[in-house]
Amino acid sequence: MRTVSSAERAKSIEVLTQEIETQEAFVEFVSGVEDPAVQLQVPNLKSMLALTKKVRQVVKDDEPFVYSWFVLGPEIYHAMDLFWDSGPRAEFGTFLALSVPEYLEQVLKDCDRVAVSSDICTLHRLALSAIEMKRSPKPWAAVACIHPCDGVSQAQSAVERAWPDVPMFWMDSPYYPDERGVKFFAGQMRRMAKFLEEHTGKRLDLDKLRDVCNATNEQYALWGEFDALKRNRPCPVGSWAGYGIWNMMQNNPLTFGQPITTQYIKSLITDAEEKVAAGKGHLENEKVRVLFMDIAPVWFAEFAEMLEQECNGVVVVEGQGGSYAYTPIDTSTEESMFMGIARRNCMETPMIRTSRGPVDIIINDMIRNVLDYKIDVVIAPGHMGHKDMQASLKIIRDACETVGAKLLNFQYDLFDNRYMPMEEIRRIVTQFIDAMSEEKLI
Amino acid sequence: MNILENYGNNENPKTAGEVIRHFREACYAAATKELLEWRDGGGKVVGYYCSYVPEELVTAAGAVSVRLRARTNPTTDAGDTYYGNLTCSYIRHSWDLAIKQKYDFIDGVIVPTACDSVRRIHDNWSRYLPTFSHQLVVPRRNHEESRKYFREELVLLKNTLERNLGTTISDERLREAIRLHNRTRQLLRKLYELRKQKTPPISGADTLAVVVAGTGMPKEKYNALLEVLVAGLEKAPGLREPRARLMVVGSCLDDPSYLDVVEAQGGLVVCDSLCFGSRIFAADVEENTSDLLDALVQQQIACRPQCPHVSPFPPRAEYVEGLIKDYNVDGVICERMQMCDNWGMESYLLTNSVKLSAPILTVDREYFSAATGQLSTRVQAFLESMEGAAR
Repeated sequence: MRTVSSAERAKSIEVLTQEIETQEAFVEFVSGVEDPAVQLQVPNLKSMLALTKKVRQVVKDDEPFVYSWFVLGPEIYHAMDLFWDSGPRAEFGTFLALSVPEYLEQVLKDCDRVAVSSDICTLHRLALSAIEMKRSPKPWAAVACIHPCDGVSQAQSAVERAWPDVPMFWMDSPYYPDERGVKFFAGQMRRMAKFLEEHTGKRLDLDKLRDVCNATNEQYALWGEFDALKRNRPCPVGSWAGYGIWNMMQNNPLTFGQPITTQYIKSLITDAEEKVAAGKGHLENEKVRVLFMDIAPVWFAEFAEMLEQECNGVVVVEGQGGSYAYTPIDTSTEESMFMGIARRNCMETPMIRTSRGPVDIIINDMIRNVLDYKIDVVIAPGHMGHKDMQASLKIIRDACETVGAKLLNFQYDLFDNRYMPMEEIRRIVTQFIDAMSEEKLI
Repeated sequence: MNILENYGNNENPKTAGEVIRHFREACYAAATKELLEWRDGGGKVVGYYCSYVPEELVTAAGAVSVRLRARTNPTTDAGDTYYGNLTCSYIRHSWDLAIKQKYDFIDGVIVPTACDSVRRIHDNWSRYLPTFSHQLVVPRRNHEESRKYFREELVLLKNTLERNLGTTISDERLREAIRLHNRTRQLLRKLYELRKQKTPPISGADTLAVVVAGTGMPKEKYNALLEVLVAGLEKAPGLREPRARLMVVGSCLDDPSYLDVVEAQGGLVVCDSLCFGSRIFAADVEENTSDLLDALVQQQIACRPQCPHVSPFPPRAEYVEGLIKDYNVDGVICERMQMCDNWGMESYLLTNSVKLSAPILTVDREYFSAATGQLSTRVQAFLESMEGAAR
């Protein structure tokens, strides 16, 4: 039987309040920046702040909620009217707070206290630390994320041990991106829905499921439209301009499938279309187009600024982009919806798509991106936690050669700059791009 | 002295001591004498990584299965072009051998999806090497759907073996192979039973050599040697009363000399939870069933103890605790290869989330251990702390 002591609840409220205050200060600052490109990001930043507030409210009111990941059927939680908090919320969602160096330092110090080997992905160590520090409050039920990598799968065992009185649902994940795999995962999601009904008292509403599938289908199509605009040279938007789309569409339960998200994507499209029509790029003199084969690092703003100012470069495509072909969910029957949700969550979402299965997916995506988006430099495989990518080094290099892109391979930590300081990243990237430019290779 | 100086000279080991010496030498050879004889006689050989591969299918296909290791190769110069240095060293040493075509005694390879590094061996092998490679998808859970999925995987593996080895795997041949492998498992369990004695007749390092050697030779020959070994040890006196009875838990450890360092401090390794150890022979495959593939699935995913790839954690912790009791263990050493996410989290869990009835020491290592001094010191301190606690 799940129990939450008043001390635990008070601790969660305290740390979430601290996080909210940090986020509020940052949102206020960003809202005052006059740059129109920055202003376009404000709705996303505000939604992240609203999410942290909602998590705090849920704790205060002791409302049922589930701990899960954005790749485990948020469509289903939505159709059950079930709020979900996630491991990534405590990391990605706190980007706002993490943008404040003092706060980031504190979070990393907390992370260091978790006695897990430092060669295991920092994301998972952060998730465990968030649980220990009560930044991730104790849920009513949990759904274990078992893909795409060993790190996340093993971390779920630690999550289970940290919350021994919380019922946890474990699903399995297929390897190949085929119909057999989709069917397998759809079966797991059906069992998950039943488990959640049993442990939260909520019911799956198929009409609501259909509605959210339709809404997100439209949003995925818009996301594709936005990304297609980045094929233009010069690129009309700056590095990671689409990060907010991912966050609002997949990672934030408050904006998931909501009209605010549709509006947000449309505003980005309008801005990009206007620039393309005017023949304008984000950079006046764009020279280098980068494919960053990872999810967004906490240091993405610094990196983007460095790339722009020192190399006239822009990250055109990154690991969270919608440049993948998301398949619209067929909403005609319950079966077709579960199949579509399984396909989207297991075969198409960022990281899960690329890291879960055979290397061909990584390579095919990379080649397509390099060709479609006219990429000069590919940065991969970098993050210290991505062991499957580290094991794909030669294959990636060969594929780059095939399509004439230059591969920059170095290691960093997406979440912890103590692993590879920004100054060192700056030196590596600028030296590489300078050398390639001098040799007229890019 | 070169451990392989006289390897193969002892044509027919007749005593337990000779068998142990033969197995120890075999651990450090590129391929065992028995495997090369099989190969020279025109026999097929299929390599595999990781214990989730049901060797019975290879045997039923008329070939010999050999678990690929890299004890002869202290370098990774060629392999490092393919694998970044955040990949565990076992994979880099092994792939280095593969890409240098030093695994020239195999006709193909089976690569399970047991971890993020090993699964990419298949992606690399199928691109850069001429022999066949088959990816065996191993589920992460022991659900009904997962077992069904794994059974389908075994059908695919069976088809690959039949196609590449030009043979048919009949039920009859598969049942015969299962009987043969069950015999191996029974003999190894008999060997481990002897280690429950107050003064076991065999060291942990030698036992590891016995298990490792068995993964690289035809099972008929191996079983014959095991029979000699077990019969000899049943009559042999115990080695000594150890300073402490130890258990080793962890990732793929195929180096008996690593345990020599541990045991040189006065402790004796009396049992293990290793994939070159008890986990691979703890449960037999059901022979008397009409669905033999399902029997293989049950043995691999449901019946035998798992590594962290197949969650959940509690049964693994219970298995360790059960061994502590059964073998009267004083202390547990959890060894883990650096960069291994599976065992990195497991060592955290074993240390922090359960209360085992014996103290635990966690040690990181590389495939080729240079830091033997450090290991000695840590084991020494561990033994002293146990003795201090007992006083």
